[in-house]
Amino acid sequence: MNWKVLGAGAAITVPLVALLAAGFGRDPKLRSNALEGREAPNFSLRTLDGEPFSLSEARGNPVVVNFWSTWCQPCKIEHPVLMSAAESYGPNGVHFVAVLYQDEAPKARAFLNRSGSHWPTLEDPGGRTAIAYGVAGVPETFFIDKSGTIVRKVAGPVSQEIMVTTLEQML
Amino acid sequence: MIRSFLFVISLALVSPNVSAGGDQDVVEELATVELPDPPLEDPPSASIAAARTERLQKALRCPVCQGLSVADSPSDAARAMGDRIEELVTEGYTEAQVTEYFVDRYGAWVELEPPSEDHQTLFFAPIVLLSLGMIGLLFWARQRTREDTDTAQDNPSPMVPTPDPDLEPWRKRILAELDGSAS
Repeated sequence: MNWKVLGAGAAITVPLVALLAAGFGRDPKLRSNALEGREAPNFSLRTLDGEPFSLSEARGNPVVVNFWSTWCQPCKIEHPVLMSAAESYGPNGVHFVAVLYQDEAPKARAFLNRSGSHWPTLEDPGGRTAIAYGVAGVPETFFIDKSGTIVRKVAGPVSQEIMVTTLEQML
Repeated sequence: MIRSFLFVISLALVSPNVSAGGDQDVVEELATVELPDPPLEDPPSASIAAARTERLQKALRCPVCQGLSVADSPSDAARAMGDRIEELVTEGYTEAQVTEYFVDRYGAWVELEPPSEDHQTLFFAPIVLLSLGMIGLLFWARQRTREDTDTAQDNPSPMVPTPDPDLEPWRKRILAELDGSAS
């Protein structure tokens, strides 16, 4: 066996295969969870009822910030999970906040009147808060711990299992 | 705290139409998002701000599109992002600050073109690899030539015999006979 030829072949193919493996092993459509582990951007918005709300008011408690809209079908699928979690964990000090994304307040009010909600829903004029959280679609949910750090971001509807597991970790 | 939440919720349930839905100015007035750093520059002139905004809107990717810049996308999300870029630039945030702000939130993906360092690596890597390959090939060829020369010196090839002048008549005769037999 010619070891020199074998070595030269390996020197060319191994890095090439490693490069391809790294490239194909990564989903190019996957968005970064860049804010995980960092301080949640503070915001002050008004609820659908005109009441002021600031995230800093909830400091010291775990907070679940959910970006949603009425035109988003997965958001409607996720709604019962949020309702159930808010009923179970709200009394334990977990705050739930919803931020309306690219939607109109009357439509959101109509939906919430039909489906119910145990949390304030905030209007986000100009989508500044959504941008501050790097929201690239709805639903997206941010779990913020007592110190104000984003411990988890979930893109897409949150399952009951992820909701419970994450909230238990934060409490 | 919880009471205030309950109050808000009760308002939502009891009087959903009492909201400030019609009073968009009030909603706009209060809506603020804290930024991580102050702007590094004073607010630029309108023409400079417009040029910076345009460059940034072309350089940053629309968050809900495939391969479209904020400037090129007609989506609501891109419009919101474009407006936000304009706001930040007008406040005096530099292009680097604005880019960093979006990269921090959306990841490096938000830049349509990768950072220049990556560009340079991608550009120079094949040239460097090709040069190394050529140098290696030259060394290999040179070493092989040297080995052939050494072998040649160790085992000199047999010399072509010089024809003996005394045998020349015999040689001519043989050749003549061969020609005769051939014809």
